[in-house]
Amino acid sequence: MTLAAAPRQQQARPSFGTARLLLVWGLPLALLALAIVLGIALGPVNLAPARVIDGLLNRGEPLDHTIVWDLRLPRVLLAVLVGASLGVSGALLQGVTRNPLADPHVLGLTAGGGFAASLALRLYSDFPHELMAPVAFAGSLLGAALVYLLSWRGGVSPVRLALSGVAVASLLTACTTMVLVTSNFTTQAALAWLAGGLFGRGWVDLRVMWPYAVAGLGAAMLLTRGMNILALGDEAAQSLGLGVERTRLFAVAVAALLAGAAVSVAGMVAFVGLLIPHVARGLNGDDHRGLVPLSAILGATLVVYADLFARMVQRPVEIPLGIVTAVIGAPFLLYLVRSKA
Amino acid sequence: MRLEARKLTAGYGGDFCITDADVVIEERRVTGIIGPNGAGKSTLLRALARVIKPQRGVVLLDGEVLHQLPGRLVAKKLAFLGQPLEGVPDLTIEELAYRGRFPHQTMLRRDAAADREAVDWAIGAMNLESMRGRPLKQLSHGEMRRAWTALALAQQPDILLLDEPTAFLDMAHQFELLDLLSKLTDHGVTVVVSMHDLWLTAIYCQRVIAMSGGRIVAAGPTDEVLTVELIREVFGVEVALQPHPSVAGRHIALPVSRRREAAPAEPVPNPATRPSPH
Repeated sequence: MTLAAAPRQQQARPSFGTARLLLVWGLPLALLALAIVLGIALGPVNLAPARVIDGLLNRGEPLDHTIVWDLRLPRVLLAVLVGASLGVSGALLQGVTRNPLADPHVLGLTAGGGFAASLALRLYSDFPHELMAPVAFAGSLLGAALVYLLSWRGGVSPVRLALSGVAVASLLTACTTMVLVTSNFTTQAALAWLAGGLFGRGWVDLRVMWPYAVAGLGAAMLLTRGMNILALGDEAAQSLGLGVERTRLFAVAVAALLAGAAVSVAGMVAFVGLLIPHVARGLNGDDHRGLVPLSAILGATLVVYADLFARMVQRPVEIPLGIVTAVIGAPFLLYLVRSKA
Repeated sequence: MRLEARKLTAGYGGDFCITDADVVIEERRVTGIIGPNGAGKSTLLRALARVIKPQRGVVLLDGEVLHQLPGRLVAKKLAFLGQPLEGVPDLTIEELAYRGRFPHQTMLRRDAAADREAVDWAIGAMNLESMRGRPLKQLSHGEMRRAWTALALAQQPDILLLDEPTAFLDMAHQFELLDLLSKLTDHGVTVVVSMHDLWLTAIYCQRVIAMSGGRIVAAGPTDEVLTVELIREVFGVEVALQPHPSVAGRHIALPVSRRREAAPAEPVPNPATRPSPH
């Protein structure tokens, strides 16, 4: 075999090959598949795989069908979408700001959702659970628009975007706290929502949320070529013919859409958007064509496991999902930072 | 492909960095833009490259107004390379060069054979074949410069605009890069570079645009522009022009002193008491 006949990509990265493909894509996909199976099988009633399948197909006991189909499956699917959305949102934001610390929470894309939700609970103490998602979604998008407009000065620079995002996030978080401490009613509901979780979520929420998440994930895939060019720097991107401001606006909008969709059903789930792109980059490198789908897979995997943990660790009480992701995420991020240096 | 500017005024924010610049870039030549810091060299290059918009005047590419043409279309004819990024992307030389194919691709359509051919040519033209798979993070300054230039060449531009391509390079790498850039004119590429070094300008550039205070002071064939008077006016230094020992018809400028305000025929001081020549 002559070297010249080998495909170029193999020359480009000597480590590229079947083993690498299996590690980068096979392992995360296998972990996600396992997570989904465990998420459906485990709970107050543990189901053997055969009963899970019977329950899905509605040919075993009616109770199994209720547990699998009505309770666990929608929740696991929601966890998949929430994780994928947050992971991709973070990957887009880290690319747009060229800042490894960017994520939807840090950049204020979700703080608006938190504020809107707590304000709704403050004004109507019996605010219906089903309406929480649209309210939080709208709040997130408004917050994100505010961040974008505040960083506009004849264009949006990555640094201004990051700084005004941090400012808006702090301000809106302070407003949320203000609303909570000045309210007479029990703040339990709002606090639980702010800590994040999928408790009590089902098909209703999934039906509302999935179009936004799927549209956002699809749009993110369309953005990957432009993001690769943007990563070369504004001037280089411009001289390659990329509409730099347009790409940046589109990327922030998609990131906000994804973050808003995630926040609307799961509240504030910390660290996923920050951590997952780093893991994906470690496996795949900087190329967004791989980075974005891998962030979706890894984000989904993390949130399904975290939600499973949140349900199982202190039965029958659930602990907030956002606390689980933070407890997993923070040390892992520190490990990544230290192992790089 | 003809690039020219008429009454071009451009800058950042409200400040004009260049005023009323008239420029015609001669095709298939290496044109050097010289001038002291702040003269407007980079701004002129960026306006010619469609990176910044003119506040007044126009840039014409083959008679069409450059800033009204679509970015992708311009990027197939004209490539610009500014100062490099601070962070280095996690890419190999070849992956970087492939990104230069962006203007030639669309979401649905790309010509893999043409892409490969252009990338191979760009990498070859920058003498990087033996290290095409090497990550950028492992490259020296000189190799990094050539890798980014390969990105611009993969666009298959007719005109290549480079902002101080030899900055931060040691002397051997300056010569190496300029040798490679000079050879591009044989392939029909027009090269425009901003330069700091008058010696290298004299050797490598066929034409020179001299700038000072945002205005174009002189433009033309190198030997006509680089005169003792012009260098005194633009850079504020006295030089002696000497015939280049090996390049026929070229002169190099030897710095003698700062500009003398009084009469020029001053007696040369005793060499023993003279400060070191810089």
